Amino acid sequence: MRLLTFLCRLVRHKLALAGLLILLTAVGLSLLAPIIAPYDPLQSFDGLRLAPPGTPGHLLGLDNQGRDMLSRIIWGGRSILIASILPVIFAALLSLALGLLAGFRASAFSELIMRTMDILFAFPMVLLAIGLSAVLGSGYSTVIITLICSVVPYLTRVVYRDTRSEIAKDYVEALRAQGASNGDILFREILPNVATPLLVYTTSLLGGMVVFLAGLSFLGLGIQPPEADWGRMVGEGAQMMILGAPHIATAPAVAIVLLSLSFNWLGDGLRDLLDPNR
Amino acid sequence: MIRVILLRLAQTIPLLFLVSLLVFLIAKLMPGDPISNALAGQLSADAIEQIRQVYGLDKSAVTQYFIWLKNLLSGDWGISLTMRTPVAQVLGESFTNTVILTVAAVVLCLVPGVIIGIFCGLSHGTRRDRLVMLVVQIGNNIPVFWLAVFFIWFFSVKLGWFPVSGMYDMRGDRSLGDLLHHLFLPAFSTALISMLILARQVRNSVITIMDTDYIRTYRALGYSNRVLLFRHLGRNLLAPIVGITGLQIGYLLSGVIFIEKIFAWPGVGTQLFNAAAGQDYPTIQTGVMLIAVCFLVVNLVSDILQDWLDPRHSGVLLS
Repeated sequence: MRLLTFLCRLVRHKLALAGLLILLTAVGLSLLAPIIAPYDPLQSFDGLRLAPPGTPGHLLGLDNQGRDMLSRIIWGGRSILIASILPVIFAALLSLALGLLAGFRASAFSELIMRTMDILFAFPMVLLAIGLSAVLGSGYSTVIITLICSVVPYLTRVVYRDTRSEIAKDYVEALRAQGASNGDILFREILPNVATPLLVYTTSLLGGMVVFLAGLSFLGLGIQPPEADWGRMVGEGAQMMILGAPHIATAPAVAIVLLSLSFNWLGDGLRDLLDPNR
Repeated sequence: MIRVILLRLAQTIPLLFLVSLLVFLIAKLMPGDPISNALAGQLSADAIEQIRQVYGLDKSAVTQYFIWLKNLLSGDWGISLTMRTPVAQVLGESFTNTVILTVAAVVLCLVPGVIIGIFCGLSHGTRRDRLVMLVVQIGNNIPVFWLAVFFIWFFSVKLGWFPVSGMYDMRGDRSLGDLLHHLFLPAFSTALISMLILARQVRNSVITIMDTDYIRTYRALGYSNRVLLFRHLGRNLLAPIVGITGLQIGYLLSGVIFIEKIFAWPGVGTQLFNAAAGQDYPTIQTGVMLIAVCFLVVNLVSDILQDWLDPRHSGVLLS
């Protein structure tokens, strides 16, 4: 029931609704790609190479190898959604654990965790991706590790800060006086209070991560051909754009912007509803 | 003030040490070692073993780390495995090129960003402000790499205003004018998105400052907007601007790596890509270390400047 009222309020938030709709459309299209996509994303129509959007039968035109752009974008949604959402969820859980541990009691261990976060902050993540690609080769493993390392320092700091401020509150003192165990205080009382800001922040970060992930693919460090991928499509389209066929790079770029905006808007909506004080 | 600087330094040095450990580990994670990889099949196992000894690869990882760190600090950065020239030579010139691009991007980010931010902050809540903020939000989500490609297509191919790529004309005289002509588009592409983010944060700071009691008091006393703007707002804005700029320089440095690749700008990013493709690990290590050090130094300087501009900033440090 609470969930239902919450969803109702979320839907009434205009930006959040827009974000939710775009996101659901993207997820739906990706799941149903084999049914919805008009063509095989790898099938090439030789006579129609570089044909512009609006070509009969090909809404968004064709790329330099004569592949249908719309089908490639629908299929490409799969890899970007999986490769951005899964590592970020994993990173959020990891940050929750690290932040709670580090924030609950000041110790050498918590100092170690927070200093490690400082290093990750100080390390340009593109460089990590380049380094990893030399070791692991380009592909899912490189981008997933890079994404986790990019997100964890931000989220851990948020959880750490919130845990620290919750610990200092009177109700924790009262619980201690009543004889509640550390585990009870940490998981029953503090966890729910820090989880909400974490959820909000994670959602907003996802937008940036979508763009970053696409960037890694653009550079050739991410998902490898022949699988369709938005970032790489922009990369492959770049040359064609300079030769005078801008749609090949632009269509996937618009898809990236929309997906990224949808996470931002959803994040804004969640913040307004769940975290009105911030 | 000196105490604050020392404290900030004390925070940064362990970070540098740990970053160097991370960078070293990246190379250690590579399967096999570079000598065996490059020479397997060409030389006998004995000969390879000899070369490994020359390069110190037969020693333990810990010893290797300290030798590497010592060499790094003394400026002996090793020999590039693919180009057979000293890494210092490979990275030296490209580092200058990266700095040129980054500085240009910082200028193009800072000047318009601050102006737009102040403008929007002062007209907070009006339609103009909301329009600019919408543009900022959408711009925030535009992939910098697409934007760069779009600019090349529009300004270089369609309009023919700027060269498509590179740093100098092939047959040119490598003059300053030629450099600036090649520099504008990559610097602008790098800067635009950070500029928008900066504008939004400056705007938010302006709104917060204009909402404080003392500004309201001055208003009530009848001081003109101009006096408030230049005498009070400006001063209070400096610290947040320095802070945000410090952060944005970090993003710009990362962005520069993308932009270098797209514009074939001969900087550290381009070198790093080539190095990664050729598993040229002395170049990767030194290049990554170089950028990470810049990152940390920028943060250090920005923190110290903020401490100096706004004593509240270092309050946590001193207490």
